[in-house]
Amino acid sequence: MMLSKPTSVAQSVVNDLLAELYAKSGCEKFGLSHESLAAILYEVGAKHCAALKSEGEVRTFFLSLRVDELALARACAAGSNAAWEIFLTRYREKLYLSALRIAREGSAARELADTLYADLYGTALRDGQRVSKLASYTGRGSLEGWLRTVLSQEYVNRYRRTKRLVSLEEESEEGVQFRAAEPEPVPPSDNRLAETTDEVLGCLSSEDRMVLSAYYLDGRTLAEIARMLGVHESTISRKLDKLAKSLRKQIVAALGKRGMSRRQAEEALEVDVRDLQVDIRRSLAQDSPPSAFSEKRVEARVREGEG
Amino acid sequence: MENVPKIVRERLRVSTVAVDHLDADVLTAFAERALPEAERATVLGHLARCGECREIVALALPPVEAAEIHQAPSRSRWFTWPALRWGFALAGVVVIISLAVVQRHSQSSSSMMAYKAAQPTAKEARNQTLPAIPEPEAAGNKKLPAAFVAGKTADTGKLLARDSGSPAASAVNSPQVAGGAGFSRGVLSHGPKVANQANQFQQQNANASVGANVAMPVPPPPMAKQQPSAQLVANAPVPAAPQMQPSSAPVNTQAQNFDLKTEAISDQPSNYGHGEEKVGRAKEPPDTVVHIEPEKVLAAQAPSDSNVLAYSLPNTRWGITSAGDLQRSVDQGNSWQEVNVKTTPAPAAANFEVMARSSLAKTKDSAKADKNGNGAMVFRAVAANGVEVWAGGSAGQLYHSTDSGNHWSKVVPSVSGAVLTGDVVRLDFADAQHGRVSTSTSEVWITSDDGLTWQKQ
Repeated sequence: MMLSKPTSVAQSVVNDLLAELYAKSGCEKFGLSHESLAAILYEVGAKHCAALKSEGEVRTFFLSLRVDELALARACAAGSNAAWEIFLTRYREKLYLSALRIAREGSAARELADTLYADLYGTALRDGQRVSKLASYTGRGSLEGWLRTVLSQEYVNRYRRTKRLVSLEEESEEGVQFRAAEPEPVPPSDNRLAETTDEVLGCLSSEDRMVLSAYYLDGRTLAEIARMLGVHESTISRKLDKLAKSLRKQIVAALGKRGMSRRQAEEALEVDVRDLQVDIRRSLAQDSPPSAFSEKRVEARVREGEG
Repeated sequence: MENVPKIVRERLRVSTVAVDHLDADVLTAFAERALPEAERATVLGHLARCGECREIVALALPPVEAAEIHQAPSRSRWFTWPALRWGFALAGVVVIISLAVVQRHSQSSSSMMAYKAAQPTAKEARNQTLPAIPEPEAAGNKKLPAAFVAGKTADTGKLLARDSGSPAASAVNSPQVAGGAGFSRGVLSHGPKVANQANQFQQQNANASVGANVAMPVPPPPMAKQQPSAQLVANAPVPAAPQMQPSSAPVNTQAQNFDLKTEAISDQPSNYGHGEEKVGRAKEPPDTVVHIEPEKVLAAQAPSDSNVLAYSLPNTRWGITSAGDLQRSVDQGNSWQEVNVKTTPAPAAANFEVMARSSLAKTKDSAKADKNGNGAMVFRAVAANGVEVWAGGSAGQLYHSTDSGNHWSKVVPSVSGAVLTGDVVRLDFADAQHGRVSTSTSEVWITSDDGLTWQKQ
């Protein structure tokens, strides 16, 4: 049962646990008072406890927080020298190594790490106050893991921005070295196949769907997916094997219910929808005037698909 | 291995929707399995549809440490079914053989003691007319070792004497037991008395023989010569069997063979044929069993003038020369390289320090001023625990590396304004978090959070 005033419940739990959490946090090293820690915990509770249903869950939530790292991060965000010394001693090397692993190249890694340092230190100002990214850390996961996640977010954002910024000269070339944006989804000639597939995929669990997407869309390896989910690699392998077999059976069965014969259903599954549409587009392109950039991009993708 | 139909991939791609992305806190907690079940399911639902968040989670995975890669094969190999199957079978064989040997020893010794205890009475009884003592086999006591058949008991007695060392066993001279079991069952006319005495001796000797012959653990050999400033940490897997030095040598040999055999079992590849380019794991280094004979290793592989050694990863050794230079070997001591703790400041920190406060700028200045590598630094202690390495020396200098010595940070333990002074003469780190630093001024500094905070004793 949802509590009528979750925020006040979170606050009362914080008040109960404050002494214990303060002792765990080591706040005194950074000059953070009980009141400061309480304010931080109220903020975290307001952000994350709204969906919690009972006081017990709220209590468990606060006890699971990494209050020591939360105190360090917030003390750094507040500009504590002592906190920064500890932060640098502990995380400086790890941050650079993580950036190197993400960017895979020294100068890009250095730039990525430097940019993040600037955000963490708080070079940006808002209403005259320094804004540090560390103020958004809430202690749910480790600070080291959070730093890696923030680095990854920064890297992905940069890569997306870089992808868009392609010169016209480069665009006029073959362009296959630049991954084009995904083309508009091509409606299949028979809607039953797509609808049935959507229905079957809709019945999958989120985890199964995530595994399929990570493997078939993102190209992740079994080991990577296993580490993302915290399971053994063989578990992912077995899951994918099982899913591949069951999806085929379920789609064929569902198509049968929609009036297709088994043979038709199996043939429909073997045909690549994109191949059908690509042929039509190619024959259209041969008779048309020089194509604009957007169509050239589709052709580049076609050639890539054939390759 | 079957792939999913292409239409499935197409529809998965199409169903990707643009939604508000998850924040870094939630993604981190998800990756570290710190979310409650309900929230985890919600996050999985988002990740199933958001490629960008999936990519972030994948990129943010922690690095697979070299030690984990080196150890992972042995861990996974131990717990894959083929290895376990053979392991169980061999374990069963070893257990059966050891039980048989133990039982033979205990029965032989108890029979010997029963015979000895009953001997005066037996002599007396023999002078009377004793009932025929059945042959062990005929009596159905198949457990009696063949050695107790007349003529071979002396050897058995000697064996017992050597193994158990018990005075009772060693006092056995010429047992002529042809039916020890007969004595223990009180077959003689002085049966009950003899049986009681025999039982007593039998019991005592059984206890002694069990204690002597079975599971007599010998303290493991010292792992290293413990210098005052040395701390040995061996992270390589050490088989348990070699640490047991029981008197039942055949059993132990079998145990060692068991270890070697199971080590030799090759791991099943996890290649289930999921597409050509996606298949397979990185090639794993050949698994090796590390049998540490520290004294031999120290003698053969230490730096020529080293007096301190620490082990971190299986192939990595740390040492300090008599001149106080810190050295590292990555090939089990075959060659050594001097380590400079002051040449690897992080470039990010160098840029960051432009914006930093004065305390940080001082660090940069002192690093710049030290152009002679470690300068006048004299190391006196080093401790290694996996990839975590601590090195300390003169004037309270203390350095910490989290990547096997590739990068170093200077650590200045302080508490309530007091700073560690004096030469660091000893480092004890039981694990990555907990450590003790002892100095020449009899100070002891303790940390329980990897050097983040310190207490002074």
